[in-house]
Amino acid sequence: MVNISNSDEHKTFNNNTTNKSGTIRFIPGFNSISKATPTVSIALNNSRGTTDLSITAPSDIINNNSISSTSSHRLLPESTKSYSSLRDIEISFDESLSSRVPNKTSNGNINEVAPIEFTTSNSISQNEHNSYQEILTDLLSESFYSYTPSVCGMGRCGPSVVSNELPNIFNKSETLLSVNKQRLTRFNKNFFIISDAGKPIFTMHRDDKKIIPLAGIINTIVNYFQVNQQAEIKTIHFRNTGQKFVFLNKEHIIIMIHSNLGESFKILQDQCYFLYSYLISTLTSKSLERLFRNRSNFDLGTFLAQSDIENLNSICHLLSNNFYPDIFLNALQSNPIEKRIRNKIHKEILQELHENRDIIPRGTLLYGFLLIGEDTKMAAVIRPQGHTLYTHDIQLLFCLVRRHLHLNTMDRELWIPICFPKFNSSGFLYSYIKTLSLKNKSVMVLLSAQKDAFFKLKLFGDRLLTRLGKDSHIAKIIISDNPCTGFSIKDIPAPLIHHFIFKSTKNAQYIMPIMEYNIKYQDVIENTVSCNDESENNQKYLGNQQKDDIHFMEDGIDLLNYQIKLQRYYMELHNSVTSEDGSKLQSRSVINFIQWDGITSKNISSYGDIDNLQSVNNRRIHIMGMVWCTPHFELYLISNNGVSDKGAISSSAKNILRWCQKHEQRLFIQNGAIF
Amino acid sequence: MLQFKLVLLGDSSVGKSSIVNRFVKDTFDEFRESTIGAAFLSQSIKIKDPKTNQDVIIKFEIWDTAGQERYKSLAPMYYRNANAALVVYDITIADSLLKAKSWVNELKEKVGNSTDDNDNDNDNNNNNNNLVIHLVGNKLDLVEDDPEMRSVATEDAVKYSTDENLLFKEVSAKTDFNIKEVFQTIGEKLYEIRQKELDNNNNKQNKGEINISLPRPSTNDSTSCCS
Repeated sequence: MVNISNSDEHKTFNNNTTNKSGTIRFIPGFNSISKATPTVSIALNNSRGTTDLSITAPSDIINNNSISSTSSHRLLPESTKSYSSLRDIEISFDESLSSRVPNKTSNGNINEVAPIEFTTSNSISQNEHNSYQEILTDLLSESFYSYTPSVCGMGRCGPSVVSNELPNIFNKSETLLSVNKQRLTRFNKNFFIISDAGKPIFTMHRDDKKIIPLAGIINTIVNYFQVNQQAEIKTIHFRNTGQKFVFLNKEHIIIMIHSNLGESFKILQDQCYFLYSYLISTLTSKSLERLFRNRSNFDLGTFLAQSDIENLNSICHLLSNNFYPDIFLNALQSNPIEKRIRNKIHKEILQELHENRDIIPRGTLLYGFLLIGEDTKMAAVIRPQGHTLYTHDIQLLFCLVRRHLHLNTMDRELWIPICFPKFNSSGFLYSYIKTLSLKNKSVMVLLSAQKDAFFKLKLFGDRLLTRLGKDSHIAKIIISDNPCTGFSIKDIPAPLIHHFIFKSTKNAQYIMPIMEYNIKYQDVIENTVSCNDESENNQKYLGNQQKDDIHFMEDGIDLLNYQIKLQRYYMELHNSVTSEDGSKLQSRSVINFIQWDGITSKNISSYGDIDNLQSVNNRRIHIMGMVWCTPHFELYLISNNGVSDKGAISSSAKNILRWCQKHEQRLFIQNGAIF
Repeated sequence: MLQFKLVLLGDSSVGKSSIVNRFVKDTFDEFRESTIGAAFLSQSIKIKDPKTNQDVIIKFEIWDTAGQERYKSLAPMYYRNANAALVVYDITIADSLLKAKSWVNELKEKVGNSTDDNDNDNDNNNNNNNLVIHLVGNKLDLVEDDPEMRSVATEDAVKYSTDENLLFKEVSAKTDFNIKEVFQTIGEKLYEIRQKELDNNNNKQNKGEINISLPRPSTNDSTSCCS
């Protein structure tokens, strides 16, 4: 996996910050507030080389069951890198994540899930690029893979039906519906940004009363390690609950993510960095520096505009409640378009650019994108010869576009300054954003380094659209009325596969089939009602379900729940081939299967969840996932429910690979319109 | 069809985007998300020529700017070529009027005085005089519900507007009170100014002087299908 955060940068940064002042700073008011709310207190005593870090926290702050078992915790300052504690708490810092053994079954609340077996192989050599099929077959025949439970799961009594509903084997409470907005701990994931003076800047689930003491605690913990260990704290891991706290300490800004959702530390760190990058993208590092230079206790929280808070919120939702593989793949999603048409689009763009050199002289247009769909799939790219932008920067831009799309504003053309942290963290670029169609959510984005280039870009954009609109094939794609663009899993001869992600490493792009989460919904209901002799209650329940069907489709809660489930499955697949710190377990190529087994229990009353149907119809869960990483591609896939046959999965995987390779030019943007 | 550029300025969350939205789409969104950067929109209105009593169509090209202090350095780009400025404050927040006043000052100071952004003829000074500034106090609906909420007295704003020679109205984007009227007034005023300019030019030409009056650089592409 490509590391988003630049490791050199980390090092320089550490050198700069570890020699901070030797006292632990408390923000003014923090003490008094903690007195006012006696449930929160933190004490740091440093005497004769032994330090007691004791945290007494109310259930509001950290999950009750997790913190109570670790209420007092002794840390020895001279001990090395990682503290493995008396209890299941683990604090690591200073990039020393290596000593940890991945604990694959640490999700405390999984419903009767069989142990996940874990196997890897490193025997793919690079020169055999053309014969993946043989290699895969060889690999599969190795004894690694014949360990029965890894194939069959624990309970072999098995379902008789293969269903392409995607059940949720993970902790139910992470569905959106059960979120109780009253208490911070009810959130499975939360994001905190504070200044290094301990002032809160942003929290995802905002609760101003609780955030101030929390900011104090976060700040104290970070400073504790800086002062006593001259180190940066990176993570705290509560093993018995799977809770993770990940810290990112940049100059002036501390970011902490708390998550129960099972992401690896690397992913959470990347997410921390993504939030930090957002701040840079809206402020530039230069003005951030300037703001804090004169006053280290500067209140950035009030300085940030409402739109920044909204943007940060939407990014946090993307990172916690949505299926957003872009960051862990470090890639952008591409919109499949017939090769001939894509080439035509790029050709027309270049032609238009050439004809309009008087309007937009060289240097005016820096970069351009045609995006389609709510998830900003790239249909075309305009870029200068010899230059590419960093994926990370483009992801920031696309997040902005997503939010613009969400506002549904066809008649507004936007002109937004944005700083690309990796490209140039001290200056702004300007983006012209125009919605082309509300139906299929297509957007044109043109970037310039000149702040007054709006009308030039607008004129060029208008002319370009006129030109593209003349070609009926192109027009059909970029301003189509069809809200669904992309391909379906049904288009690919890959039996038993529910969903997959295919990333082309070379292009830093990925594709996946459109989400068909409600497929066969009606069928399931009919089956259940007619052949299942369940209690009356269930029948009633199903009746209600049917009625509410349309309602769900409208408010999109089903889709969100589905996305969260997908995210969890893919996260586990991804985690299974990467170590906690993000490096691949095997250097070159990896194939791994995961078998998720479980039983959906009926007492889980998650309102409107499809899983309840599942629990009536087909209560056993057998889902197989496969991940296949090579230097050239990464393939992640999830089977339909009821599948536990590795042979079938791997042959479908091969089909997917073959299909993707065959249609490579259609699926990915190779070069774009290069001027 | 005549085209005019209009820029909205004012503190953040005084309701600039809501006013534009009411004007352009005739909708109101209670929980409108705040503008990032700036948004460009256009809308046409009809006015009557006072002399001929004929309908004239006026197209506004509108810059709806983000009110945040941080984007202030970008503001000149939006008001530089503007024919009209709508300076908005929130009648329930006294500070927002101060902010509006500072915008008015900045407009009076800057617009037209810069020499780099206009054609090289010596008509520049006209711009300064011709910029129509309309002060608008938004959120009148809140005060109607609860008079206690008012923090800016109408009289104060009226007095300030008269002193500074601004157009002024209190409006509500939510209830659509006075919104159309504001743009109508601006349109009529701009039309009047444009007619005077034309008359002046005609007079000059009659005197034998040749002055080719270029229209303001149009942003609308003549080849575009949607213009």
